[in-house]
Amino acid sequence: MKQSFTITRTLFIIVLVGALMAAGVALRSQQQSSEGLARASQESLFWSAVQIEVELSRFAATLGQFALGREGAGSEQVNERFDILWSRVLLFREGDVGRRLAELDHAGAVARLFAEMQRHEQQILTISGQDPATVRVILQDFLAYGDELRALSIRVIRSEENRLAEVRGNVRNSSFLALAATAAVLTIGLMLVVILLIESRRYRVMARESAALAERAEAASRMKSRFLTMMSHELRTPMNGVMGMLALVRQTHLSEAQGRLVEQAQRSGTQMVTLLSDMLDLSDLQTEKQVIGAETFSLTDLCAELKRHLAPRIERAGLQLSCTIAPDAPARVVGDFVRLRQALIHLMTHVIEIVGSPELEVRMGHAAGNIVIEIDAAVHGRDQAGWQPEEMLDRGIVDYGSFASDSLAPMIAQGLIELMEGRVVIERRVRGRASIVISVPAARSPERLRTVRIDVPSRTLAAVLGALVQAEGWRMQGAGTGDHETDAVLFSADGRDEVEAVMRLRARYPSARLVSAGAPLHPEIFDAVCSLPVNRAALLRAIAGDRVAGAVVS
Amino acid sequence: MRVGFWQNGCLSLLVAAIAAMVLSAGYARAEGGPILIRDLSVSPPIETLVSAEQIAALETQTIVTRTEFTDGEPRFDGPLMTDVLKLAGNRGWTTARMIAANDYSIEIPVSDFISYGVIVAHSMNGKRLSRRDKGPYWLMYPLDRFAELRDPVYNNRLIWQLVTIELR
Repeated sequence: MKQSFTITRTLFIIVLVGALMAAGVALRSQQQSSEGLARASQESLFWSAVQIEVELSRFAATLGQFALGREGAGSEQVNERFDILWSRVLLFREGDVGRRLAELDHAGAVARLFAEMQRHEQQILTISGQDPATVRVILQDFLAYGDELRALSIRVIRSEENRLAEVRGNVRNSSFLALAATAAVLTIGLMLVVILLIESRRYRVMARESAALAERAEAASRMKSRFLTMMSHELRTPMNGVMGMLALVRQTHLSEAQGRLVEQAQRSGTQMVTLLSDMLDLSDLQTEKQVIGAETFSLTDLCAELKRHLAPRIERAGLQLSCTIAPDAPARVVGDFVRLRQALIHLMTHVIEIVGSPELEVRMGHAAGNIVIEIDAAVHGRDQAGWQPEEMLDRGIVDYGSFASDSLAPMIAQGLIELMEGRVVIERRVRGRASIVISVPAARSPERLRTVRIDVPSRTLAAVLGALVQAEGWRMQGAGTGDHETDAVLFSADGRDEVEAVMRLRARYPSARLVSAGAPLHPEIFDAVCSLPVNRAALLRAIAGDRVAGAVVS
Repeated sequence: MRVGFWQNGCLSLLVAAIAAMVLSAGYARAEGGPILIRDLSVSPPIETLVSAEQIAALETQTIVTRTEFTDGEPRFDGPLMTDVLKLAGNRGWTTARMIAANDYSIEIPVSDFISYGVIVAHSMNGKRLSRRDKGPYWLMYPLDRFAELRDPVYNNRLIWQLVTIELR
């Protein structure tokens, strides 16, 4: 798998580099062509070459007319033409154009013409004083360069043609290269797509195989869990029989030795029943059967429940258990009472049985939307040299696949707390003692008891609804409560005029949330609808929800 | 033999000095000169002869740029073409036809003079341009400062030996 990924990555890099190189070659070629074209069009060699030929002719013509004494061809005009010709000759001696022209002037005609001009310069400057014969000689000297300059012009034309042909060839080549590069990039891109498709298909197959494997493993795990649950159930039933028989045996007249043996057998049996119960809880956690509830309860009730449940163990262990509630804690909170109690019992059982701490303190409070429960115990155990709670708790996410028999209870407790999105931490604030601090999300319940009016014709439904809402800490509207204190109305028309009845209720209980018990004819006139049969959590959401939110709750 | 060599050398130097004097006399004669500005936008056309002195009195601007007719990066000095045209008035011309001493001519949009700060160069590298060296006036664009000027169109607009401007 890893090797395959490496090959894919290498192929991808090669393909990418190939595409980039092809694109680079095409770009460079295009640049060269553009530069060549720009240069070819910029350097006006031909114009410069022809200029010198033209200016020589014009100078010769002016000089000839001067020799013939024509009007308008004085010494000034001759000197002007001479200067202009001079400037054209100098074009060959400077700049890029001059260098290229000089390269084409193989015979050195321009250089010789310049030498000729320098030789006759003084005579031209004083042309008005020269006799006609001298002027004619000078004219003949300059006319001799006419053919050579014409040949130079032709050479320049041909050279320019050749250069343009070369540029055109380069452009053709670069176009071909660009085409080839585009084709290469397209081919490479196509290859890449094919590779990706193949890889994608392979990964899909692997994912399917992995999913099938996971499903098989999960099925096997579920089967094992079911077997474990079943065996736990099956074992607990005869164990209860054994425990009952042992209790009956203890009521008979036994010798002291027999009594000790039976007591030992009872202790072992109790441990085994506890272990079986824990295994059932663990099985539930593993199969994720647990659903977190939201009910209203008081911390006092939680304390009482813990004491009641743990009383036999505490008594047997000869311990002192104190449970205190912070004075600023709310009277009632909303949370999963059952799961929290279960988690705390597991933890406390562990502390009592394993640690054997002589003093056990449970402190309960509420902070930042969480119930905070602190189980404080001495870390030196009765049976062990020392208790290290960090080894069993506070180790991150629970791993159900690895545990020791004595850590089953704390692990279940931690699992339940995590299920409630809570957390467990160990604190050592006092030397020799350790605190297991549990925090579980639980909202404060409103201090004022909320009131609900149940307006349904069916007495049975009214009784069911009443029992459910009271269990959630609501009170029924009665003679002692005014209409304005009603927070919610549960209504069912059952043959009555629904719209009229609802309007009447709205007028009477303007601030109440109107919830339909069962499917109404006009759901839009209700704040919420609670379908039948009634689900406790759905009912609570319907009557406690925000009025403006208005939603169907089933 | 040795003396002969020195005699020949001294003679050559003398000839060169005389030639230089003659040449410089020639250059001096060709320096400066007027520019004839012909306004063809009105009828009859108005002709203004702008003298070398008038041109010399205008504020000098500098352009340092490479051209394909010169070596290195020469410095060109001269007044802005817009300032020269102001001497002939300002009648909203759009096109200027530049004519050289050899009758070469080219049409240039007047907007070029404003956009690029085109100058009428009278000196190159501090030396006055003579008629034998593209003088007395060479129209110069700042070719290196604007990328779009590296184009044959603008290369052809570098007209030298400028003598006449026709405006429309």
